[in-house]
Amino acid sequence: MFRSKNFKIVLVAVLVLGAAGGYYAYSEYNRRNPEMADVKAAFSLSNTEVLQAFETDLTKANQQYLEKVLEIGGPIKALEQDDKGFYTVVLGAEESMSAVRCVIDSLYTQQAATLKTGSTLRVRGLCVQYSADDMGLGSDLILNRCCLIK
Amino acid sequence: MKKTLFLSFVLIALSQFVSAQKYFTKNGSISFDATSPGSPENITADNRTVTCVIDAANGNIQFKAAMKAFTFERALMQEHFNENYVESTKFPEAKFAGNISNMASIALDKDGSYPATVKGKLTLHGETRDVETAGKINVSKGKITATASFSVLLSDYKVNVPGVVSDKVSKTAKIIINCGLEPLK
Repeated sequence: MFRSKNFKIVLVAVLVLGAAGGYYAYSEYNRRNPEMADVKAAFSLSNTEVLQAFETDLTKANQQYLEKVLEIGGPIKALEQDDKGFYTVVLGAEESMSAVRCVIDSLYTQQAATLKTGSTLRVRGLCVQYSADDMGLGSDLILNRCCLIK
Repeated sequence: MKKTLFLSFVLIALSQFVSAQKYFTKNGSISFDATSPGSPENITADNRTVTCVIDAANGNIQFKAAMKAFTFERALMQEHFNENYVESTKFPEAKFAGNISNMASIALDKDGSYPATVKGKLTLHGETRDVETAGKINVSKGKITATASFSVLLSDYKVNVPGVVSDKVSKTAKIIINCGLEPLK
């Protein structure tokens, strides 16, 4: 009787743990990248502040900002649309070749289409790379999966 | 005075001409597909931050792509790609430097679809290998688009695929490049 009761408890525990493990594995496997609108920014800066940080001390800035969600504000230097209709907003001064390049999440394509160069904007996105000027095209900080902040 | 003005004008005009020989983009796209044949799971990713420069004068062509800008449908796959496969923190960029050998037969100022033979060196995961592929350059109403696709053997670039997922991840990755180019001013 005692053995039988213990066996049932162990069996139920194994089944519960198995189901929990299975659910965790399933949800982890199907996990999507979070939308930037739902993520709190680790840092909020202007385009000039963040570019200056990378130009002054690349190692320190990489440690501080790379793979972090950043909220960046600045003037729209250019609004680029690729042949698939996706937008990249370029934040920076007209006279500078360096800029913050914000790849806009497709959820915000319609909103991005209404933006005007010269106006100011805040975006939130994942900082993925500071691209040094090794092709004579200026240095760029790249933010991916960006959302537009009102 | 007139001579100086004339010389200045010639130099400015010449510099415009020379700089217009280069075409570039910073929002080109690269996608790759490393899905193993028969696998129900798609191992694909896109990157929309590719920088490309073509020098029309000599056919030199350069690409670079930030590895962490590849976006996967599944976050876990993206994390494994960056941390275990291509080690993006250690090797943050993929680069290609090469030449379009038949550049003389491509008229970037004239509408048309031009085949392009591209040879060069691709550096990925810290490994550099020779690559040769047939691409295409389309010119339509002044808009220039460069496209190419080729396959790379993952083992050539020391990208190790763990045995547990070897039935899902192909030994080769098909890479597709699409860049809309504009004159460098």
